[in-house]
Order: sequence, then structure tokens, then C-alpha cells
Amino acid sequence: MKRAGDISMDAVASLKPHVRMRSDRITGRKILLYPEGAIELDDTGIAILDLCNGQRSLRDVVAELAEDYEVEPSVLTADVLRFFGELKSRGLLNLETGNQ
Amino acid sequence: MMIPRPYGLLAEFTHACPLRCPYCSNPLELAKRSEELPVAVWERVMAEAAELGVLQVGCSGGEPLLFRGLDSVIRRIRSEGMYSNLITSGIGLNRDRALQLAEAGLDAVQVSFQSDERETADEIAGTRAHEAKLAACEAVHDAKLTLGINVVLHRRNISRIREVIKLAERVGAMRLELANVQFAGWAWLNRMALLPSREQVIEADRIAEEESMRLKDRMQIVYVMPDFYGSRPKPCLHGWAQRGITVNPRGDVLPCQAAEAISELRFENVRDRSLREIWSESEAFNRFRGNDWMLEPCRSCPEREVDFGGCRCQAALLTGDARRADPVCALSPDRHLVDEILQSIQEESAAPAWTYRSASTSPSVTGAPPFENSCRR
Repeated sequence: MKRAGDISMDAVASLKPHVRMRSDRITGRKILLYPEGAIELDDTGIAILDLCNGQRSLRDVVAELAEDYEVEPSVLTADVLRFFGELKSRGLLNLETGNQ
Repeated sequence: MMIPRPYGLLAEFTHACPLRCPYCSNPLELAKRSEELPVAVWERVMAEAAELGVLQVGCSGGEPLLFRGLDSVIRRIRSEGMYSNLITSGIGLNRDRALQLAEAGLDAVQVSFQSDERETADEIAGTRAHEAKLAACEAVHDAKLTLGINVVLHRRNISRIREVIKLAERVGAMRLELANVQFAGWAWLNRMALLPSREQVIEADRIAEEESMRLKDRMQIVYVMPDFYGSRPKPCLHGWAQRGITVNPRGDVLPCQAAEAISELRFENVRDRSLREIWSESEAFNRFRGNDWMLEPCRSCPEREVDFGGCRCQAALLTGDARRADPVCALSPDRHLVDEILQSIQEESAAPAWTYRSASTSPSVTGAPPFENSCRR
């Protein structure tokens, strides 16, 4: 099982229910809102979260993204894990690993 | 001058509160119920805030649950797309009430605790509250709202920091804010009773860091350092009138919830002008915006863009002049004022009694609070 930090590539990621995504009224960009904070998403962040449909593992997310961007998955793995790591450290992420 | 965009609005719906905490940041002269803004004006304020770019609304007080019409204001916050956090004592928050608020569109609840165990906690709150707070946390979970805990740290509870963190874990908090007491309002009045000792602070800093590492990813701990024992001021508010707006129960619009400590400032009211006009044009917001107001040593200091000269309210309270450098700064010519306070804290073996918050506009330090004996160490 491939891991970076303590996030497993087999995990299925989703935003916790208290996190809300919306467009910012001033900038028009997508943002995540949570208690006492907000983060602006870049295009990659939006693409990653769009792929998190409650079914795909992080490995699948990376694979899909690699296909869209026409690059090798290995090029994207570190960036995707860093993105999820940031969401996780803010308590915004559910990670389900099943019974492995 | 470039007018920035506000991100947060602190809505103080009422100053009424069932608790009587001596560290309350509300002003000594509390707004009366009859002075409170009507619901319709609050709804308009929320629409104006969203238009200005505000993302987060803290529904606060006093105790916001005592404000009739809270649900319709929350509904408006939600329909404007902003995120709402109820900042509550937890008193009055049972399962039904939590469900109603969730239905209105509330996103999160932050419950205050005074300490980890009932006796000390109730003593600090000046009333029986601790058990009700535990029940309120349950209610928050029942309504599937996200729970945060806030504990103001001071001389009387700072040594319980590890146990306080355990309590937050136990009640299922997602976020724990441990804020060393800031000296404004009632806390300024009670500063000699509330200031922790240097030893207490060093120990608390260490435990907070250790526990943050242990709980990393499970519970977010936000530890607000006490600035009196530091040598550089905090970047208070990320600079005056840069990111946040406070509207008090009367409708006065403040750059900071403690700004009434600066007696020279006149605040404009949402009954008279729009939030946008007040944010961008009012004298109180522009008074300390940017760097032009600064005196030496701030004016030529390379760190003026880092800490913005520190806290204006603290400068006003300690030196009588809100333009001076925050006296906690080692470079401030007024640092001796802070050191003298710290010196007298170290010398006293027992903290003086404190004055509980009360509706009286002339608080009596010699009054007889119900826990008069036990609030001494």
C-alpha cells in the first residue's frame, strides 16, 4: 500500500459535511468555507474535488486526473497528496479505507 | 488609500448573558435590551456584509440565543451564502433548539467552557453552567452541527490546560480554541486577577504544542499565545480595519470588538449608514488603517508590516494614546508599563479577587460575589 504521510492511496476521500463549497462573490473563484476559515481552490483543486464522488480511491483520482492532463500518474501523486494533506490538517476531510 | 475587503463579521446580537465571567470582552457599559437592533436591520446588515465580500459570520453576544429573531437572521446569512458559527455559552441549547437552528441554516457551534471540571468552571462563570454546557455539546451532535470549543485561559485555569484539551476530545470537538485572556472590557478591569505567572505560561505553551502534535488531524487546536510575556506584539486583526467588522448590539460598527477601549473614536451606526460606507469611509475604520498613523519606533520599524504596531486597544489602555506602539513590544518606550504589571504579579502570592461581569454600569470591586472566597488562590 502506497502512503505519503499517513494518507493511503486506497482511501476514498470526501469533504466533511460541515464544509461548504461556493463561488466567491468578489473573485468568482471556488472557495471552501469551514468554521473560522476559508480557502480558495485553484483549477487543480477543483478538478480533484470534482473527481471525489464517494467511490474513487485516491489512486483512481490520480489516474483520472493524469488522463485528463495527459501526464504520467506519478507526476501528480505528490501534488494530490499534498492537497489532501492540507485539507486533512484543517479537519475538512473524511478518509475511508474500508477493511484492508 | 486602498480599501481592503472584509472576510469576517462578528455580530453581537445582545449583551445579555447568563454567565458572569470576569474576563468578558464586552464593554463595562453593557447595551440594554431596549437598545438592541431589530431583526430587520440585522437582516439588512447581513445582505450588505455578503455584498462587501464577508464569508464568515460569528453570531455572538453576550449570549446570542437570548436574541429573539436569531433564526431569521441565520436564515438570511445562509441565503446570502455566508458561513455561520454560533458562539454560545451553551445555556439554552437543547436538542430541539439545536435542530431548529440547523434547520435555519446554521453551520457550526462554538461552546465556551471555563475549565474542565464543574466546580472551578462554575466558579469562573459565576453561575452553574458546566453541566448544561456538556448537554449542549450533545445537542450540537444530535443536530449534526459541527462543534468547536473555546476556553479563555487565565491565572485560575491555565494550569488545567491538559485536562481542558481532554475535555474537548471527550465532547467530540472538531476544533479547540485556547485563547489566553486579552485585556479589554471586563478583562482589563480584572487584569491583576487574571494574568497568569510566567511559569504558568511557559508550561501551558509547552503542553499546547505537545498536545497539538498528538491530536494532529483529529482535533485542530488553536492556541493564542499571551503577549505580555513576549517581546513582540501580535499582528492584531492583521492590521486595523483590514479583515473584520464587529457590529455591537446597539448597531455601532467597530473595527474590533474591543475598540470601545479607545475613547477618542466615534463609531457610526448601521441604522444611519450602510455597512459599505462605514467600512470604507468612517473615521473609526480609517483612523489606523495602513501605516500613516504610526509614531516612532513603529514608523521606521522593519517589522511594521509584520505586526502592524500590535494592538491599538492595548496601546490606548496602557499608555492613554492609541497611536503609540503596543507596549508589549520590547522596542516600545512604554514596555516598562507591562513589566511593572508583570512584576507585581510575580510578587503577589495570591491573586486579588476579581469582579464578576454584571449589568451595573459602575462595577464594584469590593462587592460580594457568590464565590468570593474560592476565587482567590
